[in-house]
Amino acid sequence: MKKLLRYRVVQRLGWICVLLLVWQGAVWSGRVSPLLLPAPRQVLETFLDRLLYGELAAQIGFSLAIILRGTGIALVASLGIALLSLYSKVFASFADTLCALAHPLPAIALLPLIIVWFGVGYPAVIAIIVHSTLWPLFLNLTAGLRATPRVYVECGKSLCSSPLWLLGHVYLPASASSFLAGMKIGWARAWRALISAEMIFGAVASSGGVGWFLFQNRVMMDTAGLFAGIFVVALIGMLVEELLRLAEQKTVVRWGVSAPQ
Amino acid sequence: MQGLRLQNIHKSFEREGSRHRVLEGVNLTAGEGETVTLLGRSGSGKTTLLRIAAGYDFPDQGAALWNGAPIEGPSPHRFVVFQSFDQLFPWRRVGSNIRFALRTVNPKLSRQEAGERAAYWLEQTGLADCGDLWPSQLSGGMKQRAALARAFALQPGLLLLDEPFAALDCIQRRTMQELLQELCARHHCTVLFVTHDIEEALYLSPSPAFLTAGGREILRLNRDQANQESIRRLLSQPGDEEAML
Repeated sequence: MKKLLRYRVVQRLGWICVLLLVWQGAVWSGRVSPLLLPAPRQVLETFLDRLLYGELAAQIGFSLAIILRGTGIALVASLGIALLSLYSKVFASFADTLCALAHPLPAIALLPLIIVWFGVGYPAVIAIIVHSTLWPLFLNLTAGLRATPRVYVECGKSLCSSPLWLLGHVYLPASASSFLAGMKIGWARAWRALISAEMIFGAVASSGGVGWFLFQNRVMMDTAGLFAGIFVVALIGMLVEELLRLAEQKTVVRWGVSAPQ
Repeated sequence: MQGLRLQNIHKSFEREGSRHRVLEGVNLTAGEGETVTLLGRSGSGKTTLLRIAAGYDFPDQGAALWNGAPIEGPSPHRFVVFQSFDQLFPWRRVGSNIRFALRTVNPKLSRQEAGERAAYWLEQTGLADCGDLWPSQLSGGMKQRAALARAFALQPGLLLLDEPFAALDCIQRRTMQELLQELCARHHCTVLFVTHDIEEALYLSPSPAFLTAGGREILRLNRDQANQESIRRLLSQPGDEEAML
Protein backbone atom coordinates (compact mmCIF):
# COMPACT_ATOMS: atom_id res chain seq x y z
CA MET A 1 0.00 0.00 0.00
CA LYS A 2 2.80 2.39 0.92
CA LYS A 3 4.53 1.59 -2.36
CA LEU A 4 1.40 2.42 -4.33
CA LEU A 5 0.97 5.73 -2.51
CA ARG A 6 4.32 6.89 -3.88
CA TYR A 7 2.88 7.48 -7.32
CA ARG A 8 0.45 10.34 -7.61
CA VAL A 9 -1.11 9.02 -10.82
CA VAL A 10 -1.78 5.66 -9.19
CA GLN A 11 -3.25 7.43 -6.17
CA ARG A 12 -5.53 9.59 -8.26
CA LEU A 13 -6.75 6.80 -10.54
CA GLY A 14 -7.18 4.40 -7.62
CA TRP A 15 -9.44 6.71 -5.66
CA ILE A 16 -11.37 7.70 -8.78
CA CYS A 17 -12.06 3.97 -9.36
CA VAL A 18 -13.29 3.64 -5.77
CA LEU A 19 -15.64 6.60 -6.26
CA LEU A 20 -16.89 5.11 -9.54
CA LEU A 21 -17.62 1.80 -7.78
CA VAL A 22 -19.61 3.56 -5.05
CA TRP A 23 -21.53 5.42 -7.72
CA GLN A 24 -22.20 2.24 -9.70
CA GLY A 25 -23.29 0.56 -6.48
CA ALA A 26 -25.78 3.33 -5.81
CA VAL A 27 -27.21 2.92 -9.30
CA TRP A 28 -27.44 -0.89 -8.97
CA SER A 29 -29.24 -0.61 -5.65
CA GLY A 30 -32.12 0.90 -7.61
CA ARG A 31 -32.96 3.40 -4.89
CA VAL A 32 -32.01 6.52 -6.88
CA SER A 33 -33.88 7.71 -9.90
CA PRO A 34 -31.77 7.57 -13.11
CA LEU A 35 -32.99 11.09 -13.73
CA LEU A 36 -31.04 12.31 -10.71
CA LEU A 37 -28.09 9.95 -10.94
CA PRO A 38 -27.46 8.31 -14.32
CA ALA A 39 -25.23 5.24 -14.52
CA PRO A 40 -21.49 5.85 -15.12
CA ARG A 41 -21.75 3.95 -18.37
CA GLN A 42 -24.53 6.19 -19.59
CA VAL A 43 -22.47 9.29 -18.71
CA LEU A 44 -19.48 7.87 -20.56
CA GLU A 45 -21.60 7.10 -23.62
CA THR A 46 -23.08 10.59 -23.60
CA PHE A 47 -19.62 12.08 -23.19
CA LEU A 48 -18.19 10.12 -26.13
CA ASP A 49 -21.24 10.85 -28.25
CA ARG A 50 -21.04 14.61 -27.63
CA LEU A 51 -17.30 14.60 -28.07
CA LEU A 52 -17.32 12.71 -31.37
CA TYR A 53 -20.61 13.77 -32.97
CA GLY A 54 -21.66 16.83 -31.00
CA GLU A 55 -20.12 20.18 -30.26
CA LEU A 56 -18.29 19.25 -27.04
CA ALA A 57 -14.82 19.13 -28.61
CA ALA A 58 -15.32 22.57 -30.16
CA GLN A 59 -16.68 23.87 -26.85
CA ILE A 60 -13.66 22.60 -24.93
CA GLY A 61 -11.39 24.22 -27.51
CA PHE A 62 -13.34 27.45 -27.21
CA SER A 63 -13.04 27.54 -23.42
CA LEU A 64 -9.34 26.75 -23.49
CA ALA A 65 -8.64 29.35 -26.17
CA ILE A 66 -10.49 32.07 -24.32
CA ILE A 67 -8.82 31.26 -20.99
CA LEU A 68 -5.40 31.15 -22.60
CA ARG A 69 -5.97 34.55 -24.13
CA GLY A 70 -7.28 36.05 -20.89
CA THR A 71 -4.48 34.58 -18.80
CA GLY A 72 -1.95 35.76 -21.37
CA ILE A 73 -3.23 39.33 -21.12
CA ALA A 74 -3.22 39.12 -17.31
CA LEU A 75 0.31 37.72 -17.35
CA VAL A 76 1.69 40.54 -19.48
CA ALA A 77 -0.19 43.16 -17.48
CA SER A 78 0.88 41.79 -14.08
CA LEU A 79 4.47 41.54 -15.23
CA GLY A 80 4.34 45.16 -16.39
CA ILE A 81 2.83 46.39 -13.11
CA ALA A 82 5.22 44.29 -11.02
CA LEU A 83 8.27 45.57 -12.90
CA LEU A 84 7.16 49.19 -12.70
CA SER A 85 6.65 48.66 -8.96
CA LEU A 86 10.15 47.27 -8.69
CA TYR A 87 11.68 50.41 -10.13
CA SER A 88 9.34 53.12 -8.82
CA LYS A 89 8.36 53.35 -5.16
CA VAL A 90 5.53 55.79 -5.98
CA PHE A 91 4.02 53.43 -8.53
CA ALA A 92 4.51 50.49 -6.14
CA SER A 93 2.46 52.21 -3.47
CA PHE A 94 -0.29 52.97 -5.99
CA ALA A 95 -0.31 49.42 -7.35
CA ASP A 96 -0.43 47.98 -3.84
CA THR A 97 -3.50 50.04 -2.99
CA LEU A 98 -5.18 49.17 -6.28
CA CYS A 99 -4.51 45.50 -5.67
CA ALA A 100 -5.75 45.65 -2.07
CA LEU A 101 -9.04 47.06 -3.41
CA ALA A 102 -9.46 44.79 -6.41
CA HIS A 103 -8.09 41.47 -5.22
CA PRO A 104 -10.88 40.61 -2.76
CA LEU A 105 -13.58 41.49 -5.34
CA PRO A 106 -15.06 38.32 -6.83
CA ALA A 107 -15.55 38.57 -10.59
CA ILE A 108 -19.24 37.81 -10.08
CA ALA A 109 -19.60 41.00 -8.01
CA LEU A 110 -18.26 42.99 -10.95
CA LEU A 111 -20.57 41.27 -13.40
CA PRO A 112 -23.24 44.00 -13.62
CA LEU A 113 -20.58 46.61 -14.29
CA ILE A 114 -18.82 44.41 -16.83
CA ILE A 115 -22.10 43.85 -18.67
CA VAL A 116 -22.69 47.61 -18.82
CA TRP A 117 -19.16 48.27 -20.04
CA PHE A 118 -18.44 45.31 -22.30
CA GLY A 119 -21.85 43.84 -23.10
CA VAL A 120 -22.41 40.11 -22.79
CA GLY A 121 -20.02 38.95 -25.50
CA TYR A 122 -16.47 37.78 -25.81
CA PRO A 123 -14.84 40.94 -24.32
CA ALA A 124 -16.89 40.55 -21.13
CA VAL A 125 -15.61 37.00 -20.58
CA ILE A 126 -12.03 38.15 -21.24
CA ALA A 127 -12.50 40.99 -18.74
CA ILE A 128 -13.68 38.53 -16.10
CA ILE A 129 -10.73 36.20 -16.66
CA VAL A 130 -8.24 39.06 -16.62
CA HIS A 131 -9.69 40.39 -13.37
CA SER A 132 -9.57 36.93 -11.78
CA THR A 133 -5.93 36.21 -12.68
CA LEU A 134 -4.29 39.63 -12.73
CA TRP A 135 -4.27 40.30 -8.98
CA PRO A 136 -3.02 36.97 -7.64
CA LEU A 137 -0.35 36.95 -10.33
CA PHE A 138 0.70 40.50 -9.50
CA LEU A 139 0.77 39.80 -5.75
CA ASN A 140 2.94 36.73 -6.13
CA LEU A 141 5.25 38.25 -8.70
CA THR A 142 5.91 41.33 -6.57
CA ALA A 143 6.48 39.16 -3.51
CA GLY A 144 8.98 37.09 -5.51
CA LEU A 145 10.80 40.08 -6.97
CA ARG A 146 11.02 41.77 -3.59
CA ALA A 147 12.28 38.62 -1.92
CA THR A 148 15.12 38.10 -4.40
CA PRO A 149 18.14 37.43 -2.16
CA ARG A 150 20.52 40.38 -2.00
CA VAL A 151 23.51 38.14 -2.69
CA TYR A 152 22.16 37.16 -6.12
CA VAL A 153 21.39 40.76 -7.00
CA GLU A 154 24.85 41.95 -5.97
CA CYS A 155 26.58 39.07 -7.72
CA GLY A 156 24.59 39.93 -10.82
CA LYS A 157 25.48 43.60 -10.56
CA SER A 158 29.14 42.65 -10.41
CA LEU A 159 28.78 40.68 -13.63
CA CYS A 160 26.77 43.15 -15.67
CA SER A 161 25.59 46.69 -15.08
CA SER A 162 22.55 46.58 -17.38
CA PRO A 163 19.25 46.71 -15.41
CA LEU A 164 17.51 44.73 -18.16
CA TRP A 165 20.09 41.96 -17.97
CA LEU A 166 19.71 41.91 -14.20
CA LEU A 167 15.96 41.58 -14.55
CA GLY A 168 16.11 38.70 -17.00
CA HIS A 169 18.98 36.79 -15.46
CA VAL A 170 18.52 37.41 -11.75
CA TYR A 171 15.18 38.88 -10.68
CA LEU A 172 12.90 36.80 -12.89
CA PRO A 173 14.53 33.39 -12.34
CA ALA A 174 14.78 34.16 -8.62
CA SER A 175 11.01 34.76 -8.48
CA ALA A 176 10.11 31.62 -10.45
CA SER A 177 8.71 29.86 -7.41
CA SER A 178 6.36 32.71 -6.46
CA PHE A 179 5.44 33.13 -10.11
CA LEU A 180 4.38 29.50 -10.40
CA ALA A 181 2.45 29.75 -7.12
CA GLY A 182 0.68 32.79 -8.58
CA MET A 183 -0.06 30.90 -11.79
CA LYS A 184 -1.69 28.09 -9.79
CA ILE A 185 -3.98 30.47 -7.91
CA GLY A 186 -4.60 32.53 -11.04
CA TRP A 187 -5.46 29.48 -13.12
CA ALA A 188 -7.81 28.09 -10.48
CA ARG A 189 -9.65 31.40 -10.23
CA ALA A 190 -9.77 31.95 -13.99
CA TRP A 191 -11.15 28.49 -14.73
CA ARG A 192 -13.95 28.86 -12.15
CA ALA A 193 -14.73 32.38 -13.36
CA LEU A 194 -14.80 31.33 -16.98
CA ILE A 195 -17.25 28.48 -16.46
CA SER A 196 -19.58 30.72 -14.41
CA ALA A 197 -19.35 33.50 -16.98
CA GLU A 198 -20.19 31.13 -19.82
CA MET A 199 -23.17 29.80 -17.94
CA ILE A 200 -24.45 33.30 -17.33
CA PHE A 201 -23.76 34.78 -20.74
CA GLY A 202 -24.57 31.64 -22.69
CA ALA A 203 -23.20 31.29 -26.17
CA VAL A 204 -20.60 33.87 -27.03
CA ALA A 205 -19.98 34.39 -30.74
CA SER A 206 -20.94 31.32 -32.80
CA SER A 207 -19.95 28.72 -30.23
CA GLY A 208 -20.14 28.61 -26.46
CA GLY A 209 -17.67 26.94 -24.13
CA VAL A 210 -17.96 24.14 -21.62
CA GLY A 211 -20.05 26.38 -19.35
CA TRP A 212 -22.57 26.78 -22.13
CA PHE A 213 -22.58 23.01 -22.64
CA LEU A 214 -23.53 22.62 -18.96
CA PHE A 215 -26.23 25.26 -19.30
CA GLN A 216 -27.77 23.60 -22.38
CA ASN A 217 -27.92 20.23 -20.67
CA ARG A 218 -29.56 21.72 -17.60
CA VAL A 219 -32.25 23.31 -19.75
CA MET A 220 -32.80 20.00 -21.55
CA MET A 221 -32.86 18.16 -18.20
CA ASP A 222 -30.18 15.87 -19.69
CA THR A 223 -28.57 14.64 -16.47
CA ALA A 224 -26.07 12.36 -18.19
CA GLY A 225 -24.90 15.28 -20.34
CA LEU A 226 -24.71 17.44 -17.21
CA PHE A 227 -22.48 14.87 -15.53
CA ALA A 228 -20.31 14.61 -18.63
CA GLY A 229 -19.87 18.40 -18.60
CA ILE A 230 -18.98 18.43 -14.90
CA PHE A 231 -16.36 15.75 -15.49
CA VAL A 232 -14.86 17.70 -18.36
CA VAL A 233 -14.57 20.80 -16.16
CA ALA A 234 -13.01 18.80 -13.31
CA LEU A 235 -10.63 16.87 -15.58
CA ILE A 236 -9.31 19.94 -17.38
CA GLY A 237 -8.86 21.75 -14.08
CA MET A 238 -6.95 18.81 -12.66
CA LEU A 239 -4.85 18.35 -15.79
CA VAL A 240 -3.66 21.96 -15.88
CA GLU A 241 -2.86 21.87 -12.17
CA GLU A 242 -0.77 18.76 -12.79
CA LEU A 243 1.02 20.53 -15.65
CA LEU A 244 1.86 23.45 -13.37
CA ARG A 245 3.10 20.98 -10.77
CA LEU A 246 5.31 19.40 -13.41
CA ALA A 247 6.69 22.82 -14.31
CA GLU A 248 7.51 23.29 -10.62
CA GLN A 249 9.23 19.90 -10.45
CA LYS A 250 11.36 20.75 -13.48
CA THR A 251 12.40 24.14 -12.14
CA VAL A 252 12.18 25.36 -8.56
CA VAL A 253 12.10 21.93 -6.90
CA ARG A 254 15.16 20.85 -8.89
CA TRP A 255 16.94 24.08 -8.00
CA GLY A 256 16.21 23.46 -4.37
CA VAL A 257 14.62 26.88 -3.92
CA SER A 258 11.21 25.54 -2.99
CA ALA A 259 10.39 22.59 -0.80
CA PRO A 260 8.58 19.83 -2.72
CA GLN A 261 4.95 19.66 -1.62
CA MET B 1 48.47 54.84 -8.35
CA GLN B 2 47.76 51.21 -9.25
CA GLY B 3 45.81 49.11 -6.81
CA LEU B 4 43.18 49.84 -4.20
CA ARG B 5 43.19 53.03 -2.20
CA LEU B 6 40.64 53.82 0.50
CA GLN B 7 41.15 57.29 1.96
CA ASN B 8 39.54 58.72 5.06
CA ILE B 9 36.43 56.57 4.68
CA HIS B 10 33.42 57.55 6.81
CA LYS B 11 30.28 55.46 6.72
CA SER B 12 27.17 55.39 8.87
CA PHE B 13 23.83 53.61 8.54
CA GLU B 14 20.33 54.55 9.60
CA ARG B 15 19.10 51.92 12.02
CA GLU B 16 15.75 52.21 13.80
CA GLY B 17 15.77 55.96 13.47
CA SER B 18 19.25 56.58 14.81
CA ARG B 19 22.53 56.99 12.94
CA HIS B 20 24.89 54.16 13.52
CA ARG B 21 28.50 55.03 12.74
CA VAL B 22 30.45 52.14 11.29
CA LEU B 23 33.63 53.62 9.85
CA GLU B 24 35.16 56.83 11.08
CA GLY B 25 37.90 57.94 8.75
CA VAL B 26 39.90 54.82 7.98
CA ASN B 27 42.68 54.49 5.40
CA LEU B 28 43.76 51.36 3.60
CA THR B 29 45.90 50.79 0.53
CA ALA B 30 46.65 47.58 -1.32
CA GLY B 31 49.20 47.85 -4.11
CA GLU B 32 48.86 45.95 -7.37
CA GLY B 33 49.36 42.24 -6.75
CA GLU B 34 49.38 42.69 -2.99
CA THR B 35 47.31 40.55 -0.63
CA VAL B 36 46.00 42.46 2.36
CA THR B 37 44.29 40.45 5.06
CA LEU B 38 41.92 42.42 7.25
CA LEU B 39 41.36 41.41 10.85
CA GLY B 40 39.15 42.96 13.49
CA ARG B 41 36.49 42.17 16.03
CA SER B 42 32.97 41.32 14.89
CA GLY B 43 31.05 44.45 14.02
CA SER B 44 34.12 46.63 13.57
CA GLY B 45 33.13 47.37 9.95
CA LYS B 46 35.32 44.97 7.94
CA THR B 47 32.53 43.86 5.65
CA THR B 48 31.34 47.45 5.17
CA LEU B 49 34.83 48.42 4.01
CA LEU B 50 34.88 45.47 1.61
CA ARG B 51 31.46 46.45 0.23
CA ILE B 52 32.73 49.96 -0.39
CA ALA B 53 35.69 48.56 -2.33
CA ALA B 54 33.24 46.39 -4.31
CA GLY B 55 31.08 49.40 -5.18
CA TYR B 56 27.94 48.11 -3.42
CA ASP B 57 28.06 50.87 -0.81
CA PHE B 58 29.45 54.37 -1.04
CA PRO B 59 31.34 56.25 1.66
CA ASP B 60 29.63 59.28 3.25
CA GLN B 61 32.97 61.01 3.21
CA GLY B 62 36.38 60.13 1.82
CA ALA B 63 37.51 58.54 -1.43
CA ALA B 64 37.55 54.97 -2.69
CA LEU B 65 39.89 54.58 -5.66
CA TRP B 66 40.75 51.63 -7.87
CA ASN B 67 43.79 52.19 -10.11
CA GLY B 68 43.45 55.89 -9.45
CA ALA B 69 39.80 56.18 -10.54
CA PRO B 70 36.89 56.59 -8.12
CA ILE B 71 34.85 53.41 -7.55
CA GLU B 72 31.41 54.22 -8.91
CA GLY B 73 29.68 50.86 -8.70
CA PRO B 74 30.11 47.10 -8.93
CA SER B 75 32.31 45.73 -11.70
CA PRO B 76 33.58 42.30 -12.76
CA HIS B 77 37.11 43.64 -12.31
CA ARG B 78 36.46 43.88 -8.56
CA PHE B 79 34.78 40.58 -7.85
CA VAL B 80 33.45 39.52 -4.47
CA VAL B 81 33.18 36.15 -2.78
CA PHE B 82 30.64 36.54 -0.01
CA GLN B 83 30.37 34.76 3.27
CA SER B 84 27.03 33.28 2.29
CA PHE B 85 26.88 29.69 1.02
CA ASP B 86 24.26 30.55 -1.54
CA GLN B 87 25.89 32.88 -3.99
CA LEU B 88 25.84 30.73 -7.10
CA PHE B 89 22.61 31.15 -9.04
CA PRO B 90 20.50 28.14 -7.98
CA TRP B 91 18.75 28.01 -11.37
CA ARG B 92 21.98 27.12 -13.17
CA ARG B 93 24.14 24.05 -12.75
CA VAL B 94 27.51 24.59 -11.11
CA GLY B 95 29.50 24.52 -14.37
CA SER B 96 26.93 26.66 -16.12
CA ASN B 97 27.22 29.26 -13.36
CA ILE B 98 30.90 29.70 -14.16
CA ARG B 99 30.51 29.57 -17.95
CA PHE B 100 27.64 32.05 -17.75
CA ALA B 101 29.67 34.48 -15.63
CA LEU B 102 32.60 34.22 -18.05
CA ARG B 103 30.48 34.81 -21.12
CA THR B 104 28.54 37.66 -19.52
CA VAL B 105 31.74 39.49 -18.63
CA ASN B 106 33.38 38.67 -21.93
CA PRO B 107 30.76 38.08 -24.67
CA LYS B 108 33.48 37.38 -27.24
CA LEU B 109 34.57 34.26 -25.38
CA SER B 110 33.49 31.16 -27.30
CA ARG B 111 31.33 28.53 -25.65
CA GLN B 112 34.12 26.02 -25.88
CA GLU B 113 36.70 28.31 -24.34
CA ALA B 114 34.35 29.24 -21.50
CA GLY B 115 33.71 25.53 -20.96
CA GLU B 116 37.40 24.75 -20.80
CA ARG B 117 38.13 27.54 -18.36
CA ALA B 118 35.21 26.55 -16.14
CA ALA B 119 36.37 22.93 -16.15
CA TYR B 120 39.92 24.01 -15.31
CA TRP B 121 38.88 26.03 -12.27
CA LEU B 122 36.45 23.39 -11.07
CA GLU B 123 39.29 20.92 -11.16
CA GLN B 124 41.61 23.31 -9.34
CA THR B 125 39.08 23.75 -6.56
CA GLY B 126 38.52 20.01 -6.29
CA LEU B 127 35.11 20.01 -7.92
CA ALA B 128 35.99 18.31 -11.21
CA ASP B 129 32.95 16.00 -11.04
CA CYS B 130 30.49 18.60 -9.85
CA GLY B 131 30.00 20.71 -12.99
CA ASP B 132 26.69 19.06 -13.87
CA LEU B 133 25.22 19.21 -10.37
CA TRP B 134 22.81 21.87 -9.16
CA PRO B 135 24.23 24.19 -6.48
CA SER B 136 21.60 22.86 -4.06
CA GLN B 137 23.20 19.42 -4.33
CA LEU B 138 26.55 20.65 -2.98
CA SER B 139 27.59 20.81 0.66
CA GLY B 140 28.32 24.18 2.25
CA GLY B 141 32.07 23.87 1.76
CA MET B 142 31.65 22.73 -1.85
CA LYS B 143 29.36 25.67 -2.60
CA GLN B 144 31.98 27.99 -1.22
CA ARG B 145 34.70 26.40 -3.35
CA ALA B 146 32.48 26.66 -6.42
CA ALA B 147 31.99 30.38 -5.70
CA LEU B 148 35.77 30.71 -5.47
CA ALA B 149 36.14 28.84 -8.76
CA ARG B 150 33.81 31.34 -10.38
CA ALA B 151 35.71 34.29 -8.93
CA PHE B 152 39.12 32.85 -9.91
CA ALA B 153 37.89 32.03 -13.42
CA LEU B 154 36.93 35.66 -13.96
CA GLN B 155 40.52 36.68 -13.11
CA PRO B 156 39.54 40.02 -11.61
CA GLY B 157 42.13 42.70 -10.91
CA LEU B 158 40.84 42.94 -7.36
CA LEU B 159 39.48 39.97 -5.45
CA LEU B 160 37.35 40.88 -2.45
CA LEU B 161 36.98 37.92 -0.13
CA ASP B 162 34.76 37.99 2.95
CA GLU B 163 35.76 35.05 5.13
CA PRO B 164 35.68 32.78 2.11
CA PHE B 165 37.27 29.76 3.75
CA ALA B 166 35.38 29.83 7.05
CA ALA B 167 33.24 26.85 6.03
CA LEU B 168 36.09 24.64 4.84
CA ASP B 169 37.94 21.98 6.79
CA CYS B 170 41.59 22.69 7.57
CA ILE B 171 43.04 20.68 4.69
CA GLN B 172 40.74 22.23 2.09
CA ARG B 173 41.44 25.61 3.60
CA ARG B 174 45.18 25.19 3.13
CA THR B 175 44.64 24.03 -0.47
CA MET B 176 42.51 27.09 -1.18
CA GLN B 177 45.01 29.40 0.46
CA GLU B 178 47.78 27.99 -1.72
CA LEU B 179 45.59 28.26 -4.79
CA LEU B 180 44.85 31.87 -3.97
CA GLN B 181 48.54 32.69 -3.60
CA GLU B 182 49.37 30.94 -6.84
CA LEU B 183 46.64 32.82 -8.66
CA CYS B 184 47.79 36.16 -7.28
CA ALA B 185 51.37 35.48 -8.28
CA ARG B 186 50.35 34.47 -11.79
CA HIS B 187 47.82 37.21 -12.55
CA HIS B 188 49.04 40.06 -10.33
CA CYS B 189 45.69 39.98 -8.66
CA THR B 190 45.19 42.35 -5.73
CA VAL B 191 43.33 40.80 -2.80
CA LEU B 192 41.45 42.23 0.13
CA PHE B 193 40.78 39.33 2.45
CA VAL B 194 38.53 39.67 5.49
CA THR B 195 39.09 36.92 8.03
CA HIS B 196 38.71 35.99 11.67
CA ASP B 197 41.44 33.39 11.50
CA ILE B 198 44.70 34.90 12.80
CA GLU B 199 46.85 32.10 11.40
CA GLU B 200 45.27 32.53 7.98
CA ALA B 201 45.80 36.29 8.08
CA LEU B 202 49.47 35.81 8.84
CA TYR B 203 49.91 33.04 6.30
CA LEU B 204 48.50 35.07 3.42
CA SER B 205 49.98 38.45 4.19
CA PRO B 206 53.28 39.56 5.77
CA SER B 207 51.63 42.64 7.19
CA PRO B 208 47.95 42.12 7.99
CA ALA B 209 45.67 45.10 8.55
CA PHE B 210 43.75 45.47 11.78
CA LEU B 211 40.51 47.44 11.97
CA THR B 212 40.08 48.77 15.48
CA ALA B 213 36.76 48.53 17.34
CA GLY B 214 34.25 51.17 16.29
CA GLY B 215 35.89 51.44 12.87
CA ARG B 216 38.15 54.24 14.00
CA GLU B 217 41.44 53.28 12.43
CA ILE B 218 43.26 50.68 10.40
CA LEU B 219 46.61 49.58 11.81
CA ARG B 220 49.03 47.94 9.41
CA LEU B 221 51.06 45.51 11.47
CA ASN B 222 54.79 45.57 10.79
CA ARG B 223 57.09 42.57 10.97
CA ASP B 224 57.52 42.81 14.72
CA GLN B 225 53.81 43.10 15.35
CA ALA B 226 52.61 40.48 12.86
CA ASN B 227 52.45 37.52 15.19
CA GLN B 228 49.68 35.56 16.87
CA GLU B 229 50.31 36.97 20.30
CA SER B 230 50.11 40.66 19.50
CA ILE B 231 47.04 40.17 17.29
CA ARG B 232 45.34 38.24 20.09
CA ARG B 233 46.14 41.09 22.43
CA LEU B 234 44.65 43.59 19.97
CA LEU B 235 41.47 41.57 19.68
CA SER B 236 41.05 41.34 23.44
CA GLN B 237 41.42 45.07 24.11
CA PRO B 238 38.74 46.97 22.21
CA GLY B 239 39.10 50.72 22.41
CA ASP B 240 42.71 50.63 23.38
CA GLU B 241 44.38 49.04 20.38
CA GLU B 242 46.62 51.94 19.39
CA ALA B 243 48.18 51.95 22.82
CA MET B 244 48.92 48.25 22.63
CA LEU B 245 51.42 48.52 19.80
